[in-house]
Amino acid sequence: MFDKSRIRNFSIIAHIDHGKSTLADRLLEVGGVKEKSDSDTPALDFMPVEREHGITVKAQSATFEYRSKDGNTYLLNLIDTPGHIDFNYEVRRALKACEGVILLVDATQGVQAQTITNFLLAMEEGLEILPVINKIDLPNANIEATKEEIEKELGIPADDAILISAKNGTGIEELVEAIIARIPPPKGDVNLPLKALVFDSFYDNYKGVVAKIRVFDGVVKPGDEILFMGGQKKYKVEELGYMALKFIKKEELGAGEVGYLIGNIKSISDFTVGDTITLSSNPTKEPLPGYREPKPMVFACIFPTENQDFNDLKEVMMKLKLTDASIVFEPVNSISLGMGFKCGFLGLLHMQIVMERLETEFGVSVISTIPTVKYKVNLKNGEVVYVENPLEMPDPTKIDSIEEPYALVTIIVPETYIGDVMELMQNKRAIQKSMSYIDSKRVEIKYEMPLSEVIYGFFDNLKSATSGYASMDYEFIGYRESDIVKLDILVNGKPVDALSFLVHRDQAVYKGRELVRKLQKLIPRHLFPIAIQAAIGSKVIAREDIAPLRKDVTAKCYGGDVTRKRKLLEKQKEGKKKLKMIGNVSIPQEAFVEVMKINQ
Amino acid sequence: MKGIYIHIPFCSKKCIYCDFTVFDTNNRFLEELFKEYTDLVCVEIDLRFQEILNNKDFKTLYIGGGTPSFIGVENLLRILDKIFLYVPFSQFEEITIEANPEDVSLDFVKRIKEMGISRVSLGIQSMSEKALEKLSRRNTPQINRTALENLANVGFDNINVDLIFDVPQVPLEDVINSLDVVLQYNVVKHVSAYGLTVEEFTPLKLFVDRGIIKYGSSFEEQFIAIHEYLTSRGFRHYEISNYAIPGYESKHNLLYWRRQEYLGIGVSACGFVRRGDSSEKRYQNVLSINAYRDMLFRGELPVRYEEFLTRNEAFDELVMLGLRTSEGIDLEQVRTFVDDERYNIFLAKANNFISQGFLELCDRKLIPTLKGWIIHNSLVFELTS
Ligand SMILES: Nc1nc2c(ncn2[C@@H]2O[C@H](COP(=O)(O)OP(=O)(O)OP(=O)(O)O)[C@@H](O)[C@H]2O)c(=O)[nH]1
Ligand code: SF4
Ligand SMILES: [Mg+2]
Repeated sequence: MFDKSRIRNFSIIAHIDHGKSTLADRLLEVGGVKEKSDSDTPALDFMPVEREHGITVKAQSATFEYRSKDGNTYLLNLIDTPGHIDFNYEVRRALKACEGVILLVDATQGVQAQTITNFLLAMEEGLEILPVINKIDLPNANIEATKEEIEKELGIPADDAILISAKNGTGIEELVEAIIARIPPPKGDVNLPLKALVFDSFYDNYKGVVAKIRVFDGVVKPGDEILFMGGQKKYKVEELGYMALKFIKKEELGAGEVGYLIGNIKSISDFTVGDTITLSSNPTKEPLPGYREPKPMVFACIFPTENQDFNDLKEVMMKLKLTDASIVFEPVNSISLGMGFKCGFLGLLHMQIVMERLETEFGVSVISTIPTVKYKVNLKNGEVVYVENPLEMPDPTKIDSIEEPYALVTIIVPETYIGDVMELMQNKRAIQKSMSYIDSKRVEIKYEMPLSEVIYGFFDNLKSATSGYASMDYEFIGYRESDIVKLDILVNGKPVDALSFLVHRDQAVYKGRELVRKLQKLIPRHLFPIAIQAAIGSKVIAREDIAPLRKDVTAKCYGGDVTRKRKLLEKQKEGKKKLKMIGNVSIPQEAFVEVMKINQ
Repeated sequence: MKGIYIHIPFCSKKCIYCDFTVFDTNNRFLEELFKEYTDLVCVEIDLRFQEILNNKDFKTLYIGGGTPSFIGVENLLRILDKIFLYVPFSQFEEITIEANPEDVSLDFVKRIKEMGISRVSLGIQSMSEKALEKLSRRNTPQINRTALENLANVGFDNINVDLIFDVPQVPLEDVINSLDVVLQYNVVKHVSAYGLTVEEFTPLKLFVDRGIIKYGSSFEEQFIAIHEYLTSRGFRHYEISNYAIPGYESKHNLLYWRRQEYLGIGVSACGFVRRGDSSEKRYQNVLSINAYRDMLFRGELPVRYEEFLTRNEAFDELVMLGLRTSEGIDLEQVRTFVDDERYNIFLAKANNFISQGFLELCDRKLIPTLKGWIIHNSLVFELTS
């Protein structure tokens, strides 16, 4: 067990792309955990989706030892966090395991929307905040302006902010010394009963469920019988240790330490992130406060495709939940697509990442319905129901009014782009609430607008309207009455419930047409004609037809063609796995994906 | 029964719709090129036959391309002589050569007749000037006629003509008129009528994609009209694109659809051979002349890849190839490839297609209907998945 006074637990937080993961790489190098490399892919971004998108999706922790100038060896535990708004929940969880944060600010961009959001989270947790200015190697780095913004926007002194380049390693040693000097060691007492927080977990094919824990009081060793206080389940500890890109077995973990723990945990569902672990022989009295359940903003149903089984999907969703506690789901039954799950996501990117992970990490292919926000429906009998899925929409005759969620959106943008932002907001049903200068060149504009307008690709639109200069954040502010209708899609007269969506009446005709046109292009010709319609209630507002196959034959097939034609057939069959049968019409997975995009 | 296919990968000019392995022969010393290629083919024939113990089964020989007629009679003769070293001439039941009408001079037909070639497949494509122009072919209706006359005059009585239909902006009348003209020659015992296919990576595809050639397919209409016309004139529609006076079906081509064995010789040629009862191998030769030369010089078979078929793959082929012909597929044979569960699924799907008029059941054989042929790919896809 490490002397508590020489342990430092900290997270790296920042706006997206300000260099957190790159800095983590440098720290792991000085800590000797990782060889020096020039790779552009940070070592802690090891999920395939993270590499694909070049962003961090999941907080990752790593432990290393460092010999300070004061002659002592310290145990440092860093957690790299994601910057994108959708993964904010990961930041919240990471902060619970720390005593301080490195608040990283890109010297070429200054303070941005998520810099503020994440800073406030760290304040809320009462953590020591170390402002660090990154990317000083770049010619357009403006250190002075960045310091000013930190002081003005965040209200913390910045003259002793540490200047670094995470890319080329400038200032890293100085930063580590500052971490040791300024971030307090953990409190807690090894002599008290065990009290540890499960701040993350994942499923390993060989080891089973692995919990990542932060010990606050007491000591835990292999062989101990531990109690999960929330689930009231008991397990025997089989193995524990530090994480440092790999697993390093230890004899014990004591107060202040961060590490992993493996028990004979059989059922994935026994287990929740945020739970408190104690010893069953000598339990602590009070569990830790745990985590606030994250609030999903976007809802969609997912279904296994043709060749996949609902039970496999269920198993996989449980495993996914272990590594992504922010996803919520429950079984749902669709007439057209069968058994699936209704899922809540923190945002559209989160949804996209989950879908990709299911496919690339877990090897299941799924299709999803159109993502939607949660509507509040006031019934004539005075009852209130919340609708997260068009299928749940009550009979229109029973509805008195529908309310949709609104968000307060904060946009930070250089003043030259004010016009572009206003232009963009015009089509988004947005109401401007305020505008103020945060420095001599940048303004902060606040809007109230329907959440549905925010989640569907709004951020991308904003980025492209402002050449990438705008940053934004949003928060839910409540429900407002709105003229919402349910748009149904019919294939050969049969409603495809999975393609229905809720939309503001003003946009219904446009979106209905657009969707029907897209489906016409995406659904292959069949042996019979297909009609695709969009309807509100019984009123059809758009229609496209797909003519039957007139010709589906290869003119020549001689000795030289057999292999090639057979391979083509195999490929076609491979593609079929991604089809979903609606009645006797097969709809490709892309159709559902395209449909998602319609709302952007 | 087995066949031998020899590939001659040269054409004087590549046609805009062609996706075969053929080499443009612009700016080359043609004589040297053809002579060298012939030498190489002869080396491959030696290599291939060194392995083969039983030469008795070879009954058909097919020289295709490309344009075999293009390399000249001397070279063709050398290839045939080489083959006859291993398989006596008298053993062959059918020896076919493909020829383009512009090469079919009186001298040429005399010489190939002497060589023992029994069947000529003539790349006429159309008797419509407009269609030939659209396809940027070298031949004209007059050249086509002369070629047919020359062949008839020296006593060829088993001629196939290749025709293309569903050509953009060429109406049905032109297609029927082409048939009319061609059938005036009663030595034409076989017609291959191919719907124009816009293949990937061809100039045609580019033109169609860019809207330079407008392509609204009238395949179905023309396919049916050709079927009615030829069947009323005594031809049997025995494969999707092939018609013959009974008894004149191409023995060699039938072997492909019946999954019988054939050797493929020459650049990019494919072969299919069995070892023992169960192992089935398909191979393809290398695609470039340089690689072909290098490998043969090293004494290796010039093979690019070979694969041994799994039962599933063999089943896919059985369905895909069988449903191309009017012989259809034998249910007993299907049974030997799949387990009971899969067989029942297959039957259920087949029954469904029968009720929709795409297939017929006759003597425990599944036979495609005309309507079924038009959507052959869909049938195969459904029945094999
Ligand atoms: N020039 C320069 N580039 C840097 C520096 N630090 C990071 N970068 C680059 O900035 C980009 C983003 O870096 P990341 O480390 O992935 O950023 P992040 O904050 O982890 O991003 P998210 O996890 O997605 O929020 C990468 O292209 C890095 O190479 C630096 O000090 N100098
Ligand atoms: S003649 Fe035949 S092989 Fe040669 S280019 Fe034309 S279509 Fe292709
Ligand atoms: Mg990162």
